[in-house]
Amino acid sequence: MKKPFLILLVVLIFAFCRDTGYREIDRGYLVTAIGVLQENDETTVLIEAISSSDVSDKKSERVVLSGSGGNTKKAYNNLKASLVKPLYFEHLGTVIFETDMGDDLDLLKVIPNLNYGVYVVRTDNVKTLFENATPNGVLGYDVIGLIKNYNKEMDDKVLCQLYAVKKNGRLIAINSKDNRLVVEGG
Amino acid sequence: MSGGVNDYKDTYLSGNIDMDIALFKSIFSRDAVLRTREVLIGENVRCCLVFMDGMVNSAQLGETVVEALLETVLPQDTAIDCDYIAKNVLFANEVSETKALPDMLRAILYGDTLLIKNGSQSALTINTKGWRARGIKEPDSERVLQGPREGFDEAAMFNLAMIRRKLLTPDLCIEMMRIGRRSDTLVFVCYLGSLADKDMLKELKQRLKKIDIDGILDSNYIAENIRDSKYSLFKTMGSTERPDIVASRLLEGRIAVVVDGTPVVLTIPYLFSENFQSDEDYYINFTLASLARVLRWLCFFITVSVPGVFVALITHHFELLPTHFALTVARLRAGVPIASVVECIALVLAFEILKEAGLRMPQNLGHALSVVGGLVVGQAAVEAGIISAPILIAVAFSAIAGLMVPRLTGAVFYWRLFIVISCALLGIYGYLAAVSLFAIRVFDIKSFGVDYTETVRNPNFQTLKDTFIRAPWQFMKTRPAFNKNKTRKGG
Amino acid sequence: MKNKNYALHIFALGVLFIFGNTIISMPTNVFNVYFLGFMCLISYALILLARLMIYLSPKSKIIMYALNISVLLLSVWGAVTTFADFITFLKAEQLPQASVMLLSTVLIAVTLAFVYSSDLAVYKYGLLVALIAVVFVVICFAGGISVFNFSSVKSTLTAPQFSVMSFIKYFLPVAVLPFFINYGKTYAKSLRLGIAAGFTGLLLCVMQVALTFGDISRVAYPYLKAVGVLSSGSLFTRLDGFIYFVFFVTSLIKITICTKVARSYIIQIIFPRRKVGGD
Repeated sequence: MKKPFLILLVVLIFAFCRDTGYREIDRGYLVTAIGVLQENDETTVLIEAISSSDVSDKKSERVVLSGSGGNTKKAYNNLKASLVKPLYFEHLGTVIFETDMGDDLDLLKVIPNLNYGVYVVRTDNVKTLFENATPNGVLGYDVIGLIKNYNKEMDDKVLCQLYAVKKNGRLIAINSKDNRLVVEGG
Repeated sequence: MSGGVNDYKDTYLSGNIDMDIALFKSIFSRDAVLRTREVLIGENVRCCLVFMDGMVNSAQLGETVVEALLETVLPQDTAIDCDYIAKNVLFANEVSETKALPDMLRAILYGDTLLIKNGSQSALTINTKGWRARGIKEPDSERVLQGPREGFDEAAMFNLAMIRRKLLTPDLCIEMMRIGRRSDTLVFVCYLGSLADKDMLKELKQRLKKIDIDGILDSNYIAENIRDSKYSLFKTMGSTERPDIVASRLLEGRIAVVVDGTPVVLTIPYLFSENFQSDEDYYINFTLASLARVLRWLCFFITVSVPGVFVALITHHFELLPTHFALTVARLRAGVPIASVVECIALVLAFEILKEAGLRMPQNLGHALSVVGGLVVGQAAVEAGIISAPILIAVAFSAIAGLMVPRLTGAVFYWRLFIVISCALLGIYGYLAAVSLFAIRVFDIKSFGVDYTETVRNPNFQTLKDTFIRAPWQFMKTRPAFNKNKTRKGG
Repeated sequence: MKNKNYALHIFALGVLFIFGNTIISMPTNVFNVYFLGFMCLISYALILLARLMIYLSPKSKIIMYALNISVLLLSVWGAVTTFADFITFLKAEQLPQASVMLLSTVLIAVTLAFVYSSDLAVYKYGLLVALIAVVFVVICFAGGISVFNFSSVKSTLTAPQFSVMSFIKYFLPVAVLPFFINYGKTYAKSLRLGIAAGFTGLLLCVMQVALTFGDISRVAYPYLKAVGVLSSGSLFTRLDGFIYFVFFVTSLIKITICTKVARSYIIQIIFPRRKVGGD
């Protein structure tokens, strides 16, 4: 009785192997930052990602993808529909909102497995931040480095991570000045 | 007819020397090595020596037997029988009389000389063994930097002598049995009478008696027939080629099985933690030995887990990788045409092939093939973009770590492969499921009634002192937990 | 299993059983010091009741049948709820793309391997993984100290709350434990200590969630999320892997124990004269 049952289990396991969620780390966009802004009565979502080359030249590059729509979710869905490779959010560093967007965190609900340690900030001009090259080349992590250094100099910690932002509802402001990122007040 | 000596258990010598010589010649009719030498003792006592050329020591045979027989002067009024010849004529140091034909055949086949006498249905077996043995050499697979370097050879008698030199006590018991219908191989069960578990000894002997096989050429023939968990990947009987190791195990209350024709001696019971012990752990300082032990446990964990966990992280759980490492892996894997899991499995197999080839290749080709293996697999395949460097490094690291636990080589290979496949299917969940299955399987194994994972069953200092670390000798007060006779000093 | 001392193993099993599926999906808006303390006392009461029933059952057939049916139902409930909780967690957080059928089949296969192994093997597995799980929980707590907001500790000291659903789902199956370990004088103390240690561990997890998230603890899988925000330098950024291990082993042990008891009691009900319990 035991052996046929075990064989059946093994067969079932192999039969269900079709949907295992297997994916390759180099076959998608590793998202590092998300930006949300409003322009021409439309919401635009910008995604900064690292994309690996499709040929074996051991190269990867920073790309900025954008999508627009009536609201944040539509913009994101339009962006996703236009891509040939999937988006991987596991290493998302920062989400940047334009100042007059307020605390619209609805976008974050569509991101799977979102880490509550993601940094959320605001700025006056999201596009400028995304389009200008930053010192290390990856905006999402440069913002994290900026906040951490800023916190070292301050007596009170500036809380930018998602779980803290959700609690106190305030977004810290950053900006780009002379090709450098700066924090504007706490 | 089974083809063994027991086929002749109902046959006896007739007493007529011509007929008896003809009997032996007919039994060995297709054996060109059998020799017979007729000798006349005195004037009328006809005898014949029967022996195998190449198995006897010719000089010893000539001096202690032939010369003794030819030069003896027989008294007139005494019955000249085998007993008289044994006690008064022969110079040999070991002589015994037998009537059973199977015993006579065994004696001839093992290098003794048989003396048959006209008018007698019994014969004398005279110890004249002279076959060549390999000699004492350090075993290749059990080298030590410090400590004894003796190793067993294929002659069981010499091996037993080496064990006896280590344990100069009358408590050392050696029981003999013969196994194998055609090979009639000598098998010796050794133990210390006051330490060995009687039930375990009885169980061992019962299992040995049940073996029904044509021939025993190596101790593994016996091991696979009598072990617990016959289909398990893990060995449940210890094996060693070193007399000091056998002696130390006997002192712990274990039982050894010495098989003629092979230098590998088996010991029971065998525990899982022994896979991580090295022969020289007890010959070097306890701090170094403990470090080596911890490294071996760590290496076992690494060799089994690293390829699978790496595959799990780069296929299912990107979030668990440090960010810069994830970006580096993604860049280095760019353009590799095959899936990570296929790449990993191919590399695991490739390393096993390299390892096997390394064992078998001639020494003068070793250097050239190593270069080819390293350059071709390592350098060229990565540069061509067929495989990626991160997975190659992970698999290579795992393969090297595996060399630290040579006693688990087979089990490690299969579990590594199984874990890679589980991780590719279901990530960390697959890894945990595979490791749990492995653990529960190991926890259920027994070795001759003793728990294979005794340490986990009964975790205390005395069971742990010789597992993850090697405690200093002043703390090694008791024998292993499975031995009822606990005290080491004075016991 | 006779004449052997498994006190440490029983202690470990108690810890793991209490963690069970509670640690995965505990609703921290209900869990606080008082609730956990109350549940600990209720667990002791359940175990005493189980012991009383074991003592009385040979004397009365009605009690024996009631006992058998209750234990069977409780153990099946415990196994099924833990199984469902763990598969839901896997699908939601760890392997969202994998099919539920595959996840369930694998877990069933592992559970069966455990159920068909000896009780001693389960004891040994429990001891080993309990040690590792406790170390992981402590490491995660220690690693979280840098992000704790200590003013939030008050949220763990709110007025006592009692959630019937939480009690039924997470803690009622505790009554199954004595039937797995052949409960007697030898192991009574170990089991009680294990249960107390399990609740202490749970309290540690609740505090970690509260001190990390403060009032915003109405998240799904709060403990996992709380550990997910921890980082140590740039090398150790997400410690979720530790928690995947803890969730897996605690669920597996709870499912195994409940399934083994259910199996033995099904046999008991069908063949009343056969002896019940471990080796």
